[in-house]
Amino acid sequence: MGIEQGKISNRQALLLICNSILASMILISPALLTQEAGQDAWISILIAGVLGVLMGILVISLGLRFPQKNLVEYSIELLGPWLGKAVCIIFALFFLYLTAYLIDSFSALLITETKPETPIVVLNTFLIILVAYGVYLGLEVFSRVNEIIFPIFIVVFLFIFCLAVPEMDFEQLKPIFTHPPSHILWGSLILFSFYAEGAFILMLIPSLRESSGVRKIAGTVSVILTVVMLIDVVGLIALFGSQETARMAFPSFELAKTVHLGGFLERIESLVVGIWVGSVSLKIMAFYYVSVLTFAEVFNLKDYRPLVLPYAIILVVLSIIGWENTTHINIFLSRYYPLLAVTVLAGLTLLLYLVFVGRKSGNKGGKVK
Amino acid sequence: MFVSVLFVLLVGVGVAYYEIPKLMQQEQKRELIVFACFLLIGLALALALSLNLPIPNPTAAIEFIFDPLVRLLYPG
Repeated sequence: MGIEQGKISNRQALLLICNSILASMILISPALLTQEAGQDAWISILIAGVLGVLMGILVISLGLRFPQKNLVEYSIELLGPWLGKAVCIIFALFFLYLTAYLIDSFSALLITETKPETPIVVLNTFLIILVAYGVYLGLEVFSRVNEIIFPIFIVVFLFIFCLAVPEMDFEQLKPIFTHPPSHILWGSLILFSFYAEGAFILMLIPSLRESSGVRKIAGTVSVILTVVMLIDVVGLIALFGSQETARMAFPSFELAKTVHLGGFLERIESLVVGIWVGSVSLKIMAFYYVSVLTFAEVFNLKDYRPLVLPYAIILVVLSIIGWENTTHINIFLSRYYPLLAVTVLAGLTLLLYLVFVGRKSGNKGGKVK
Repeated sequence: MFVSVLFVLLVGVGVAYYEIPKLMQQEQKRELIVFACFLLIGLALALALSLNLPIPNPTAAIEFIFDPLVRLLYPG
């Protein structure tokens, strides 16, 4: 048994995974998707939903083979101490990098939409202080906060969409299938790279209260996310048209700006920013936590907490030097990041699972121990 | 530039002052070593950033590694 992390219930785990995938996906991916697939983006979402279920099944069937062990312990068992640790360090570095890009896109939203004068260093530093505090308090604390924030996030999102429905024109979704299949598939690959982030749960399976109930989570998460994304993207295309959506940096945020209700409900986008800051900082907390925990396990530490603050300094630097501007983030996210995420997360999980299956069939023959 | 260097050093000292006594008290040698390594990496990066020195950029490395694959697969 590794570092004592505290226990979370299955519902908390479900909401944590949903939030950790959705928080950035809902804001960033519609523009990337419509750049690739135009008004056919909803087809990409359906394909990505199926891929997401497959990824979830893979992750959970790997995790449930070792319900009492975390990723580091069983990858050492499967691949040997050196290769196992190397794989886990790649996993941890990937989540470090992911956290840095999330922080960068967080401050990109705040700078472009609400605070154009503030230097990026200040926004990043304050977000990281908040997040590091959450990670310091531990898994149980931010899972519980997430249990409150995530339902509010979904309710606010649906509420705003309902208010925007009168201005939508669903004729803009026609014609269907005008984009070549390769573009639609690349769109679903972009979306799948967000789904694949759900693999962070590999580190948290030993801290689930009843790990047997986790099987249902993969399907539920994928259905929730697919439905929310369908509403989001179909609504955006109906409201702005696919070309206009593709040009925007944060289309879901622009949608909130269009809401006017009877002359008294205006400027509702501040509410969106508030909720989104909460949601994305919980997402960053989850990934930060997983990354720090993986490093602590790799180096055989008794506690992950000493690493939290030094990590914060590294993150501030990484989030500032990583990307030049929002255009660079967009190109990175639509071209390089999907391949990176698929290679690291799906590839790593698949590798471990195949090694496990190979070992098991070897053991049955009684040749390899 | 001078102010930011001073600020980085102050943050480093603050973090060390907050964590090291706890670790010394519990006699966790391994934790202390790993903590020091991470802190030194972080401070080196932050100092390089505030002195405008070139820092190896992971994004550039990733773009370099995946460039052939992107050229092969990316439809646009």
